[in-house]
Amino acid sequence: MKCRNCGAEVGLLDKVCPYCGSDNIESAGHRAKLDTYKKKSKETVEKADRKFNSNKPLIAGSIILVFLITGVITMSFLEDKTEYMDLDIAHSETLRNVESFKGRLNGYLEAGDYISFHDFFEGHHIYETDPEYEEYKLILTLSGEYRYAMNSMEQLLMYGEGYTSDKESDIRMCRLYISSFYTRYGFAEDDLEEYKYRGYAEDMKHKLDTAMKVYFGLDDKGLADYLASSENEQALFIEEVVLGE
Amino acid sequence: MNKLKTAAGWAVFITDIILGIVFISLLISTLSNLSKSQVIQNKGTSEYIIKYIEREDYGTAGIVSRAMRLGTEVDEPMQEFYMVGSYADLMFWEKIYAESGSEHTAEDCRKQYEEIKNTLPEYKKVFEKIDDTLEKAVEK
Repeated sequence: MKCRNCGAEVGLLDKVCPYCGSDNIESAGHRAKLDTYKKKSKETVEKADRKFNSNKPLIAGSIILVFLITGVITMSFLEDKTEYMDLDIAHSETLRNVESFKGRLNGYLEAGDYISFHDFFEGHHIYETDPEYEEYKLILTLSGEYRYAMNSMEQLLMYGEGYTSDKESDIRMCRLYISSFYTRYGFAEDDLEEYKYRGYAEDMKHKLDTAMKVYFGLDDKGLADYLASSENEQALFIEEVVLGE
Repeated sequence: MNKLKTAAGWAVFITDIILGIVFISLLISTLSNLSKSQVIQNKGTSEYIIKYIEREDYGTAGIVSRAMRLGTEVDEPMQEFYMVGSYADLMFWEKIYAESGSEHTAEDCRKQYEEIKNTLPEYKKVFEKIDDTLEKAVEK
């Protein structure tokens, strides 16, 4: 654009000519348009700001929602993975230190402490299905039955005078556990023929036989008769011994 | 439009709260899983043993006390109760070992229960009751 007075080049928005100082009348229209655009632009920005501010809680909530969904999925996965972590750690320990664990197990067997053998096996999460411990499978089963039988006898016979609760269910359980050991032992006899730990299995039976003799007052014949008798007769016999009825 | 927006806002807010609770529960459960892996080998210190001794259920006290002999760490104040339980257990087993020909093990049992008896003279009456109970069990 040129100045009408001096003909010099002036800007579109210049109010006066920078060379001669005369008014630039033609720029007034441009300046008015520019002011209008600026005003409109400002209104648009304010409108957008208002809209954004009114949606702010929803946007923030949605972002938190996305984070929470991701967090819940991740935590579910971690929780599932760690649920049996304690057992897995204990079990892997039994595979890392096979010799040490077997040493302890064989120690209990040699000492004739079959209950501790069983408790150690279970307590440390040793799996008899692992090839390293497969050899103990049968003796573990028998020691489990032996443990129940001996524990139930100990519990039933060691009630002091001051114990007042009913002993009926203990008597039934004791009969059941004793019977279970002898039944299991009978089933295992063929497998025991060639079994590495046969001696311990026989010793277990010998100890239960002895307990029956010591605490139930049975001799060899009495024990044979007891084992051949019916469930009811066995229960009545134990009741007679324990309650004196 | 505004109503829809408000409803959506509330829906998101409620879902956030529910998911927040689920997240915290899962976090606590995971941390609990991680912490229990530290105690798996040493669990089993039970205060029930006191109840068993009080009820004169010496057999159960004896059975429970074996955990200590298997290496479970028993808290200091509980140790004497576990020793009383062990006394009953050793008494019961000594008879079986002696009669089954394991004289050496029976002797070990005798030594152990005598030691317990000497260590805890304040439990003299309880030991007498256990002796009496076992004597009656053998007589039967």
